[in-house]
Amino acid sequence: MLQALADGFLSGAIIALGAIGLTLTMGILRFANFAHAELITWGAYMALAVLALTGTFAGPWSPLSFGLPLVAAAAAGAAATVVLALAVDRLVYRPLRSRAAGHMTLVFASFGVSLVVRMLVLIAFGGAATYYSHSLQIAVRVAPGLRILPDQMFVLGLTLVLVLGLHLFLSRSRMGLAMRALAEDPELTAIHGIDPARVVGWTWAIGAALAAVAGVLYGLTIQLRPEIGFHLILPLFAAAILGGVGNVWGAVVGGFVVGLAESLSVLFIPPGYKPAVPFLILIAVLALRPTGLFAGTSSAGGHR
Amino acid sequence: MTPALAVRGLVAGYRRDLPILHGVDLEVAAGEIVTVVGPNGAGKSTLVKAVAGLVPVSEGRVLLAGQDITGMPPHRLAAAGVAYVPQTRNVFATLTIEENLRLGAAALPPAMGRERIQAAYARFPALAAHARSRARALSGGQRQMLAFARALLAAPRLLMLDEPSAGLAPRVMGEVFAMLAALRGEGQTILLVEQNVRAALAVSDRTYVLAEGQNRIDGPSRALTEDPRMASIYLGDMAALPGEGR
Repeated sequence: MLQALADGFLSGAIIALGAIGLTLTMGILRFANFAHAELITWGAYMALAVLALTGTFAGPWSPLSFGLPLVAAAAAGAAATVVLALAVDRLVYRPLRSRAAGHMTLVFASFGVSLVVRMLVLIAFGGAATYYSHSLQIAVRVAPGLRILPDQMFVLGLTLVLVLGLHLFLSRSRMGLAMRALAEDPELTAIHGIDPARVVGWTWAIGAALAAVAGVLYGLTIQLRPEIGFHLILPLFAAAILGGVGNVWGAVVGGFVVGLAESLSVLFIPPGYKPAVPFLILIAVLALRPTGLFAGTSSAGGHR
Repeated sequence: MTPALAVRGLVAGYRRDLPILHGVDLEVAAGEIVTVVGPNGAGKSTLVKAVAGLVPVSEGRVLLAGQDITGMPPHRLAAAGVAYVPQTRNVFATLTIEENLRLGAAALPPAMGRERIQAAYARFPALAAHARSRARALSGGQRQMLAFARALLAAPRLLMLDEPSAGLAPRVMGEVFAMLAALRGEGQTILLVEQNVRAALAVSDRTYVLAEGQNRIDGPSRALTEDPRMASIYLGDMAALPGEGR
């Protein structure tokens, strides 16, 4: 039971980081981006590629399994993911937006993008599961019946730091304010002298960087597979919609709810049905409360 | 002298094959308040939106102090000195008053922005009292004040207001026109679209009457108040418009 809770928080953290970017781009660009989850895969593999190039030039930070090389590789992977997101926007979504293409056109385009990105990863890195490091870690016994790896504690801590940082960015900085303004009313934002294209660029960059971090954390605590993103699509959408589209804190709470529901479900149903849990949450939210749990409340950092 | 705003032969509409304006001409001199009135569907709002870069222009020119700004995107027009207050949805309802004003000051150097926001609070004490509330909590009149305050933050060369009195209670409407009179005293150049013809004529220097996307009459507002052609354009409706005896 305790162990399932801990696992739920862990996968919840990764889902939350991915769902933040998804909720931001859905709120601002007004379409469901099915390719967002592939940014997670891309970030994870770009970090792997950088790690392969640089080699392990420094030892791990005990008791963690990794050190500076992976952190540097993660940063480079995040940068490569930002480049991919901006390039896809420039080549695919922006031309469609400027032709005032419908919502569904963008959604189908994003399906295409997700396939292309996944196949590129498959071609470049192969389909076999792989790892950043093969060193073994000793789990720390936190409580009776609960063992947590130091890396897993790091995942939770880093998620907390990133979410708080993003909250401060959205609530305090000019660009954060402009992003919230654009989510509410693009025309009025432009009238205020703010270039919507610049704000859209920042939105992609932030969403992509967080997705890349989620990918690296997934690779660190589970494994790297070209289907990481594909398997996370449903949990990400469930989390973003549960939290209310455009609501950052909602996406974080949604991420943890989905993660916990998945891992606690195996106490009651065969593990084979675990992937169905986010789907059930998604259906339940859409049927009962389609605007999300926090619609109409004035949650800090929420802007819907 | 070069007019603050010159519109020449403007043809514009949301769709290029369906123009709403069919060659409109208009001038606003610096420091002048010019009103655009006309029956529903005359193209008044389309005119200001076309100047603000929100409606595509297919023919004609828009000149700001002699500089061609035709087809310039809205965010660059703001930097060029054009401030526009739409008729509806003119504040960010989910953001606080303070955040709305910070957005209005986004293009200014930070220190100057803070200074101007303080000046706006001094001018509109009701906004200062609600600085931390979300704009959706404001009354219609307060929203209009917030929209004005935001537009004035950048000290625009041209302020365009689309029916600022629409949907307001008569007393609040009086406040809006008093505000316009005060701005006129400060020498602010304003292009005003109004349904409330009497009040608009009273507060402005010159007036253009549009109908069906074309110029009909224009001249000093005082003279048009007496002009019998006004009544015929409004098909006798003018007397029935909310007048409040100014």
